[in-house]
Amino acid sequence: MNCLRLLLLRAALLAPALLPAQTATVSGTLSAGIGGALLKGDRPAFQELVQQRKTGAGGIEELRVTREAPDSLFRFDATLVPGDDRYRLALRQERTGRFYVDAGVERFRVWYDGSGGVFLPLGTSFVVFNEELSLTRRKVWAEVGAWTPDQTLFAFRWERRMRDGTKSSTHWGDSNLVGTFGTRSIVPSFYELDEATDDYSLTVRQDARDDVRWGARLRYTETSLHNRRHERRRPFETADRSVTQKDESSNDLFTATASYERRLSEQLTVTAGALRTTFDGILAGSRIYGQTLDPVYDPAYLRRQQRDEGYTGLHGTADLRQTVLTANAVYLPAPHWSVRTSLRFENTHQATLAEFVETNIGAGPAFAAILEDVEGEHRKTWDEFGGAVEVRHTGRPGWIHSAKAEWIRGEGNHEEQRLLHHTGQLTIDREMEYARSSQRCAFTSTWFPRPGVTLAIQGYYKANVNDYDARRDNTVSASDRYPAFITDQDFETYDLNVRLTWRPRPGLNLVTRYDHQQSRIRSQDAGLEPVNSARGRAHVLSQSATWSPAGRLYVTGNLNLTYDTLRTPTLQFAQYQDNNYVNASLACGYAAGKVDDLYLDWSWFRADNFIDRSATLIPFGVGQKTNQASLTWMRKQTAHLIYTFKYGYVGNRDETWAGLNDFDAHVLYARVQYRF
Amino acid sequence: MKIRPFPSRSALVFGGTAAWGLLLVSCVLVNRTVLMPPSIPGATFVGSKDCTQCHADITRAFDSATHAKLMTPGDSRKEMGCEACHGPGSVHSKAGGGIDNILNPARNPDTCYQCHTDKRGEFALPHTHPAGHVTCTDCHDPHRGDAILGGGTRMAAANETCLKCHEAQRGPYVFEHEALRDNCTACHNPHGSVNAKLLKARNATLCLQCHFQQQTATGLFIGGRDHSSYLVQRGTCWSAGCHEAVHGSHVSSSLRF
Repeated sequence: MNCLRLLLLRAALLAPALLPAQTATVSGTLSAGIGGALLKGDRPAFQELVQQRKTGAGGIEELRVTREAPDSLFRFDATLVPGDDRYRLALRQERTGRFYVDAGVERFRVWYDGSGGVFLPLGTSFVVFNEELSLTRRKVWAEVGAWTPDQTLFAFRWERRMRDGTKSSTHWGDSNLVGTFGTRSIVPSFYELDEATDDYSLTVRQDARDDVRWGARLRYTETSLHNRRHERRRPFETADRSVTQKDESSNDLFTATASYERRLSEQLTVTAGALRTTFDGILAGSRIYGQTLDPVYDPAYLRRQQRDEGYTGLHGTADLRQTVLTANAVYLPAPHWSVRTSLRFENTHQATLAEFVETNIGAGPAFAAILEDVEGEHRKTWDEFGGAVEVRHTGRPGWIHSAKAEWIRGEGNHEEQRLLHHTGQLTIDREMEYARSSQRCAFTSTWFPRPGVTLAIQGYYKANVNDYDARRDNTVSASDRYPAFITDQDFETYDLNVRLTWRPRPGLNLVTRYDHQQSRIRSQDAGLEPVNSARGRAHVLSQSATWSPAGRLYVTGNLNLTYDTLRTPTLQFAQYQDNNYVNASLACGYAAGKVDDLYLDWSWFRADNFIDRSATLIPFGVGQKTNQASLTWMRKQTAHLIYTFKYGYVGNRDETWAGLNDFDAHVLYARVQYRF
Repeated sequence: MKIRPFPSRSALVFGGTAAWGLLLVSCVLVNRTVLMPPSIPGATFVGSKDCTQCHADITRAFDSATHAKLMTPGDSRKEMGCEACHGPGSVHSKAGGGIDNILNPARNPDTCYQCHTDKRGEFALPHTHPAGHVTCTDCHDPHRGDAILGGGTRMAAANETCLKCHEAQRGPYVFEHEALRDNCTACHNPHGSVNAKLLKARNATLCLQCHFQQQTATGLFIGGRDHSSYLVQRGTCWSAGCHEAVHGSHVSSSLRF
């Protein structure tokens, strides 16, 4: 019965494509493929890297039908690959300048590897749940639009987005099974997500006229979350217990936007825009310790430990009101000169209130449960004003220059309170005033000395200066001092990139690019001297080359060398974070026969940042190498029929995980494609 | 089943010999063109003026786009207009439209990678947004205004680009993490990272960028409290039982959970 329904549905969808019309053209593609992998090694790591199910998948990869006529367009698009959980069904019917209907449903899966860490001196690692994690994203949408005779568009769209499944987390749990080294956090944890968002929008837009364009949109979004994070602490010890944190929040978001653009003269065009957002959220959640996954709160659960902190019965509200106004002008004072200015104002009010029962465990040997009714409250107001000016010059033959300056100044007030209901004590009571200034200066110069050669230079300097002034703060000597503890925090970034595109001879294209970025964070905290808390430096050199020595052969190659370091003055306690890597790829296509093409693809990645300081730290820093190569044979049997066969190899070597995530995979794939 | 790692010596010898033989034979027998992606067979550049005839709604606003900085006046530079990204348009223009005779970078990022070669490298890293499902145009608008959506003097806030897919991180929270006010990119690299979760740093360094305050002979003080043993044992500040609520908390001012 389901098959019949599906058949009828498809027939109905395809019917418009078959409508007779003298000038209409119908074209399309039908591709069916099947593939799988022979794997030796870690399966979750393979699935995460390749984003395919190991056991293979097959089905209709693409069914696309397009019917084009002078006054109409019909498109149908479908994918049906059950093994890989990849589905899509979309259609669009459009009558030019009159109306359109657009609808569809799609679904795909994202794979994750749920591994925790490895403590190298003893080779300690844990598998406490199935590490083959995956998240399914789904989307359903329907949109209708119609143009009035003066080409004003009215459109309504409904979209439902969902994601559910399991996903890895880096909130690793602790273990004492590391010999005499004490405690290390290497136990894997994971998320269980179930989220849904319904989005309704109504758009009115008029952009057919040359002198005036305007638009308005009302959007209402409803989101509900049923998310859980599962952690395990001290597994296989006497203190083995699970923690589940739930977020059961929901919210309504309403936004209204409007914009108006008018060309006042040939030299001057002005635009104004406004945005109003209201957000109403309902908070719910808990964090509960217990003996099993997703436990019910029990004050006397076995294996409880001192300071097993959590909460139950959280409920509350979160509200936000935001207004944004913008104004822009484009002024062309002289031929080849343009000046663009923009202004922005934002006002935000935010209030959040949560009540919950805080749970804790006292000292042994009794390990008595401690319960407290708590209320947390937060109010924030924020005003921000910003402006930007950009000047562009195109008057010099073969040159374009532009420069932009942007500045933003924001000021606000922030109140936080945390009240213990049974004693009436305000454990947190503070009010802060804060200011944020941001400046950004950027320039771009592009030079086209002759066809096929382009030299582009871009750079910017950006600075954010944040000042915090705690007007009232009762947490001066307590541990909950943030955010009032920070009094100043400044960020600075210099960025430069140069790109040369060069065609030294016919058939050979070269692109060379160099990027450099330098950043610095300077922090000052209450009663302390300012410190340079971080310094980042990155150099990226990338080169691509495309060579086509003859019509039957092309070769493209890409190389990226990245030196990326982040330094804090804390080497003794946290090893340096280097993100250096090299990756390279090569692709080659060759017409091997009258109907046969061969394609060779290879890519390689290497990061060598691993430093084993596991005697004093957890081993971090990536030491990884991946190798991917494939050979594809494509046979064009007829003008309409194409066969493809592919063999690929994927290898992964991961030093950070002591080889536990290593794998070698041989991937086989075949596809037949029919074009009409 | 035992699988040998690639490439074994015999595989290389056999494969290389076969490839060389095939090359020699086909060089003699074949005179055909193989298409290099992204490309359009038989198409030549016609200039952006042709595009305005049907796509005026896009071309009229394009002057405000970041990519408009690549366009110089003059016929000899015409390949730097619309066709710089969509490929030569003569076949598309002659046919009066169509989707198989023009490139759509929204479906294939190779067009973007032609200039943004560094991003090709980042998207080839072990941790990226899922390829094929998230493309450049999901976060960047190449046709109008700044290519980077949100932030600065633009209508939307910078984080809105991320929050449209990552709703759970929207907040607002009772106890905020001020870093979110700066941007999601304060901690994540959206194009790709060698670290899980697209993190800029996979250890406590990520947090210490802003939260390093005092180092003494005995320890490392954060918020006036010695954290040295925690950092050593846990590796990250957001390990289970520490400061898990990295995006904000409804419960704990120190973002415990």
